[in-house]
Amino acid sequence: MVELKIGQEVEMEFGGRAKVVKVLGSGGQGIVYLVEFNSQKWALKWYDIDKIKRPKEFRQNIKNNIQDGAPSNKFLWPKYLTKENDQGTFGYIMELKPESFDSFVDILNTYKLVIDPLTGRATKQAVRFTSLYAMVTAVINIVNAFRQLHRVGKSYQDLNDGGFFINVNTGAVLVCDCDNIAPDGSNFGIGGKPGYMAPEVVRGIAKPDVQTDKYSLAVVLFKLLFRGDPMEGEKVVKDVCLTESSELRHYGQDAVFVYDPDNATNRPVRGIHDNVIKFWRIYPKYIREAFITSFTQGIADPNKRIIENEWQKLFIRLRSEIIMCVCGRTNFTSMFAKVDEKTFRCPKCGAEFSTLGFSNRDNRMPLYVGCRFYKCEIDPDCDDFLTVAGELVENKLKPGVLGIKNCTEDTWQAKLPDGKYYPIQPGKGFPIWKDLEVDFGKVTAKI
Amino acid sequence: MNNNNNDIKENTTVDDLLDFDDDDPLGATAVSKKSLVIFFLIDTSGSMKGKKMGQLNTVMEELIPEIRRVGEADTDVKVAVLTFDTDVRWMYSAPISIEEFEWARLGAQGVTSMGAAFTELAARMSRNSFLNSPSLSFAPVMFLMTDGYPSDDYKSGLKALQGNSWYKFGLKAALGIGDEANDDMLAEFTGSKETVVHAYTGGQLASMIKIIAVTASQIGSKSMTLSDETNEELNEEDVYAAKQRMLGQQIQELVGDQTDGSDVPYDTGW
Repeated sequence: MVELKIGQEVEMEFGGRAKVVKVLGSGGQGIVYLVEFNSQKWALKWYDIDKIKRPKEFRQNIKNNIQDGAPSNKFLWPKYLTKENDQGTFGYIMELKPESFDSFVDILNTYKLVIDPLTGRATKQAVRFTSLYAMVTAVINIVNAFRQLHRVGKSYQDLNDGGFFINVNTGAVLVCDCDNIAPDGSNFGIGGKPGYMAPEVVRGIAKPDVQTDKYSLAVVLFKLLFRGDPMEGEKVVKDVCLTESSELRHYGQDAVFVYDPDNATNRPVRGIHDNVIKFWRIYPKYIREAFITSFTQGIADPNKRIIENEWQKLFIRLRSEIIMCVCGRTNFTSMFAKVDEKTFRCPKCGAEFSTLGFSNRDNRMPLYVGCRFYKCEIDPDCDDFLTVAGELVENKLKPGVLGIKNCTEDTWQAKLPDGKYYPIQPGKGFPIWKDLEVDFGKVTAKI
Repeated sequence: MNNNNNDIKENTTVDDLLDFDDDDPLGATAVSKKSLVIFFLIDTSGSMKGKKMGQLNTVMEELIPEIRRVGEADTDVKVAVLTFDTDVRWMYSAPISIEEFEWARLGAQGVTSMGAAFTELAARMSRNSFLNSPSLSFAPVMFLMTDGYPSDDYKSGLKALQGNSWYKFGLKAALGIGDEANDDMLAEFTGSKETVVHAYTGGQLASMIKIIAVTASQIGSKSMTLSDETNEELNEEDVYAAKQRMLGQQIQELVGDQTDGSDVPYDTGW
């Protein structure tokens, strides 16, 4: 391993030098440094070339990726390669992760270690999503990033908890470690991180590709929502010591999902897997079923794995089923009592929530101050799940009167209490009432 | 979608709803981690006194922060330090999480009771003692450092250790310091020559300790990784002791880079 020293300069492929400022972190394939190049700060990934199986092809692949550009702004994509040094070692630079993003590893740990630069002492600082909206939005962003990547015909190969940074306030996602991304079907020697690898990769009978990415994505989503390992239950814990052969068994040859409805041998163990036990009952049936399919039929048959587009739809629905109750309780509609087909009640404080039904889907959206729907929810041809289309607000001039504000650039039509339809211009709104009907253009909705 | 799963409820039951104090989807605790204990077996006999011990103390202090992030979200890394001279002593009475671990500087005196240390380690590497984590564990890392030959019957201690299955599946490495340490004897402990290295100079001592400790804890704290280029189904024999082999391979690669001018005796070149 040729480590770089602080202050050392590395020649860039197309001229110029990047000067090493400090170490940012290290991984299985090399070390990441903070560098200065063209008077800007960048991250330099510098390879331990002995760990790269086919360095020439590996370098060429990164070169191709740089030329192709990132699939979207959700990727911390390689920007420029360095020259190769005498030992054949090289690296690439990429943009730095913004301060406001935390690593997925820290989110799973629920804290990060902050090191005092003077004493070297480490203190713990909490890392948690600040709202349920942000968490579900992060899930949608992760799914969407891989949808974008797979759409350009590439696979990530090494999908694991070290590969993401997430803003816990907004749910924005940055995918990092993009250097193993390769055209589907090519592999430059990376196997992946155990626990995230598809069973056929663990068993040695397949190399990472788009299909194995789908399995790893399901593991990432499961870990983010249920905060545990989908394959680690009673059967695995009984082994006490996780040796190489027990891993081959539990994650490869005989992987059993902890909530496999037809195989109860590997259920989560109270005292160890409390998160999974607690959260599994909270999520609605359609979310649980998607994971069951991924981790039962999807183990042996990669074609049964949930595709990104499907995940995206499921989680956009989940986000629309969040209720933030006045009593402070925030949860999905599945955890509220149903008064009738159109009304939910908070089991804690008794508050009731009317719902809005949309013409393009069966699930109804609960109404409360602050609830929102997004562009993709009122336009079937639109993929924009981040731009708010409408939000439920209190009328500023008539306190106590609640209505929906048009946050789009289009004019809607809404039926008001006199039974007539009125145009609702951008920036305007309409009150909620018992026979409300609204036409968004391609989709209609009513109470 | 799967239609035959009877234990999925369409609607949440009343009991579930009533338990609203504990249903916050954001109220997660940290993911359950696998645990890994790194055992350092350190010779604190009289011959280690002086520069060797001083340097070892300094390296170990520096090493702790370096292995702190090794476990990431999957593994809770703990450290236990067993010293042996005339007596055998644990630095702390139980393994301590790497995040809280503080190195207590060691002194040196007396003879080399390595066999007694092996016996003590064998007794503590048990579900009922130091390896009592309720969740899953990775097999421990055992790192032996010595500058001399055991002054007691190490064979009987080693025999006790070899009967312990944690030892059998664990990652073993050893560092011989100076001319007196016997690599063949150390290979008996690790089970292979590849995981035994030798330091003759102060600079080597520092780099070898770091190489072995960091590499072993990296490999030990992660699940096995694939490295074969064939497309054949792996079986149990293929993966048996795969990590120990990987450790030997990586130590040799890393040590290869370090051994230029290695014939200088330990006490020269300071």
